Amino acid sequence: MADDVVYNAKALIADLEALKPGMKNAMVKEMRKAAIPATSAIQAAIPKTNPFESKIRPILNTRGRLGWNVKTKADAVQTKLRTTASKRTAVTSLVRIIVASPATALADVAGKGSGEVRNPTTKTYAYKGGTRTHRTTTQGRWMIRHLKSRNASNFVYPAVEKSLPMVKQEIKLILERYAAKVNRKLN
Amino acid sequence: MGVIINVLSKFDDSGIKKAQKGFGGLKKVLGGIGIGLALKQVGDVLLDAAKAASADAKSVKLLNMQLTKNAGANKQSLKENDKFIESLSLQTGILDDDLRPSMAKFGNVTKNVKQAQKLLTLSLDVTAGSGKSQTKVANALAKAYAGNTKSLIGMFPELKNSKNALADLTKEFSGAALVNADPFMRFNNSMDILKEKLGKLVLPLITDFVDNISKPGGLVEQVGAFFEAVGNPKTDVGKAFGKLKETVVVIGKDIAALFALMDTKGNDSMTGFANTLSGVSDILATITDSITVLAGSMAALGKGDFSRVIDLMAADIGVGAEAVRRNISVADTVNAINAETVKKGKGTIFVNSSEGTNNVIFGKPTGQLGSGVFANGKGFAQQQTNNNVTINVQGADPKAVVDALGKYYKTNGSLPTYLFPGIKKTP
Repeated sequence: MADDVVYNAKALIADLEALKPGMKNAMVKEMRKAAIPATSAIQAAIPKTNPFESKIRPILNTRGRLGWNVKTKADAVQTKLRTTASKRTAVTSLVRIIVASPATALADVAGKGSGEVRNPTTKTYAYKGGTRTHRTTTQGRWMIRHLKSRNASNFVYPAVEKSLPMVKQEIKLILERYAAKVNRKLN
Repeated sequence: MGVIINVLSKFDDSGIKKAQKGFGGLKKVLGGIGIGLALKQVGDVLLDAAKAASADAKSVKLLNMQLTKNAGANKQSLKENDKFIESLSLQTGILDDDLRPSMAKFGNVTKNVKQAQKLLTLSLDVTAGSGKSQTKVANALAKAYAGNTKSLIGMFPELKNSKNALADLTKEFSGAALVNADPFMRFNNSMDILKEKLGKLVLPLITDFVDNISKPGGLVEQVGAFFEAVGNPKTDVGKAFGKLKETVVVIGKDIAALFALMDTKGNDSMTGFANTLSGVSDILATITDSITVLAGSMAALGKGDFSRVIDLMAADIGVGAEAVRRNISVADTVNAINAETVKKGKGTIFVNSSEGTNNVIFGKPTGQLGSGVFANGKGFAQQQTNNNVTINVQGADPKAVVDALGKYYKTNGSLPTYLFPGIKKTP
């Protein structure tokens, strides 16, 4: 489904605030409410336990930024409105649903590659006054296989596949409704 | 790092804004020179809007009555239902007037407004997803809700083994109406809804006005009494009107005498008036053409196109003006006009010579009268008395005339022989 693109959104939101302060917040609140079917579906699809926990090597990453539930909750899903234009592209995401946790994002895309190790042997590096190389481990492959066996990869998009068209329409309708308010006032 | 799902995008419209500012300036300029929305148009739009609002109000009232009677709806639920219908109409692009009868039907079957709304949404989804008629789908769904699934299964045979046909349909078609909504229909619909909303503002004013003029002692009664008084010669108004009639008759006679003066031969006021009008009309047309040629020449001069200036000045004023209006060369204009004249079979054929354009009358004498004027100043009707054609050359190069006719021969074949009674075809 093609994305809906709106024009003059920033001016519209500025006019909304000029019309009645707090209207923008009310609109965003409504949009968040409309996005609940999608956000709750994503939250339901995100694994409740750490999918990176391997049965073979049950060692948890509890410190790094890619750790499960470290700093950001794995099932944190936000709906955000952004009015500033992208510097790189002409079309910017105005309303978006963000799955904030890096660990969840990583798990979501895991297993998309071929699974083959790019360089079976490392480049030569200095070691104790001499040089050496070593073989690349295959433990990552095992981890991904583990993710796949639990069907945990790529869960964010499949979760919203059904509800997203409806959410998109509803959010656009909310924006149109607020635009109508501005137009009615201006004209 | 995170996963981002795009819901709605915005376009960087800084370029468009610049263009809008430019157009805004243009709009001001146009307004300055008097090009704008005429008041009459505004009035027409308002009246149309009021009509739409009146029809809409009638439709809403009918549905509300049915929902109150059959589904036990209260004021609050009726208000919510009205909003629901409007929102559904905006989302799907289906007119609210088309949605209300179905809603009434579902309200009658379900006896519950919320349930009726669900069924209405489902019927639109099924219609959009299957391409079947909305009325048929709505009828089938209403029957299915009441327990008779025969017509629904007739439409969707795959539901034969379904335990809950409505639930399965919902699963299959949910959201289809929104996804398949026609953007143009949605736009039209939104405009209609806005029009109705505008009309809702105007309607009370019109209702008040009508109430005021039709109440006892109001405008209608007063004007009626006035007309009655006018018809009665005993009243003061009647007497005054009698005098007015006499004055009008006198003025009429004077005007008739004035126009009769313009007809030098017969003292006939109608002919005199017609002559004057046609004279004025011709003069105005010539003035307009002259200004057009002048403007075209000035424009060409500004561009440094001196050959076009010379062509325009040398050409017949009508041809020159036409060349400016069509924005083509004089020669092309002559060709275009001649082609149209030949196609019509009557009118003036222009010959573009080095001295400028000259005209030759061309026409079928027994057919519709042409618009050309002969060298002796008479029109077609006055000139022709029988099936003869006069080709009148006004100072044109005869070779150019022959060339023009030759061109005609090549494209259309020979001229009808009755046009040349003096020339006999040699075997």
